[in-house]
Amino acid sequence: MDFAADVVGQSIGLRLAHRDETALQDAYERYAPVVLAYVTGFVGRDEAEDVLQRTFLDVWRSAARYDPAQRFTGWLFTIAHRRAVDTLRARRHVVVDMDLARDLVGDDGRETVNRFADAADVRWAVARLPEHERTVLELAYFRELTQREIAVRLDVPLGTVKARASRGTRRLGQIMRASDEAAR
Amino acid sequence: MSAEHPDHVGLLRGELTNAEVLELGGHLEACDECRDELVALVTGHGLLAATMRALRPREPMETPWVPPLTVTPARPRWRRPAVLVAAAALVVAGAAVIPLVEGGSEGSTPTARRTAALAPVDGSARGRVVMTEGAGAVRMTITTRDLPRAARGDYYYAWLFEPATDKMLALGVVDPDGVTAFEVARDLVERYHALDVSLESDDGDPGHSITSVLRANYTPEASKPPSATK
Repeated sequence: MDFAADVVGQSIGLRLAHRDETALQDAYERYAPVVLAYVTGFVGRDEAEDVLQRTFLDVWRSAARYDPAQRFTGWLFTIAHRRAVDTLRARRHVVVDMDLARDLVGDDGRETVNRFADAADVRWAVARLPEHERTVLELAYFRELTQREIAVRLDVPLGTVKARASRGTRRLGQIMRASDEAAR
Repeated sequence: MSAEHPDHVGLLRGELTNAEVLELGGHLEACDECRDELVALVTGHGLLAATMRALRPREPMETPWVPPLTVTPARPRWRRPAVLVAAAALVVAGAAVIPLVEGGSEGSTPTARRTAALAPVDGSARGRVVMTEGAGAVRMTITTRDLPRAARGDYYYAWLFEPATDKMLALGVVDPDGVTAFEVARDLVERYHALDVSLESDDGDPGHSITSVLRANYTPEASKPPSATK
């Protein structure tokens, strides 16, 4: 996905640069769950929340340096990446996991940042869906339930789940396309 | 799947049987309306699938057991090739452990990792435990998959287990949806040979419920699965 899709993120970045405190809250609400998932993969659950807080503190402190020509989520996850690396370096007994090292540095590290930046944008779009469609898609994709399992979980007919999944999936694509076109 | 309402989402998400996939594939070849419907779904599905993969919790890497290097020998240069040749010969011969014992020790405390698969005792869940050696302690990182959701008041619990004596040591509550880690003194870990995950009830009884769901041998010499409590 092109970084132009991040038009809402760019707007948040500009507001942050103008020291708008509500923009920090908006950024946290929109991106914190994905940033938390990203840093947890590197530092583990115990330290992830601390890294999350330090990431957003850094976002606020360095907002003046945000370049609106840059994808906001890419900038945000680069900061999260740095704070995760700081945390790993601070550990006294570091056991090097080669998968982790590959995900943190070089081309793979940048690729990982971009993947999570993309994921943050999709999560934002999912949050824009009508609740009944959002619930079905979240259970399907983020809880990895089948449509039949979702029907049991929600106590609704299987046909209803299929219809909501289909409409929600189509609508999600439309939201992302509209966001992309608005930024061009 | 019915002919009137093909399950395109099920097709994209891999929920259909082979027969259903083949039937729907044949239908798509002849039905413009269904092809348009599928195209309309592909963008959203692709975005969601990539997001799901990015956000899926990282699983600890499958690492073969490597014995910790306990001694860094100070030896004359001329001996090194001979030691390497001997070590290589042991590897070729399939030896699991390469002894590196010579002279006095020097250098820092080594670290090592080992991984053991958590096999189901009851049910179809699975997982693994990754053990990372630290200074005097072992970090045991437990990852579980497909553990059924515990009923209200029930929870999963990890134990060290010694199959020879059925002795158990309580570690703590296990998160059924992801990763749980415990720091355990190395001498304690060495007194046991297996890790057990049980289903417990919040009934005030601090002992093992006897309902084990997952178990792993974590010592390389204990190759056979330990007997189940249940």
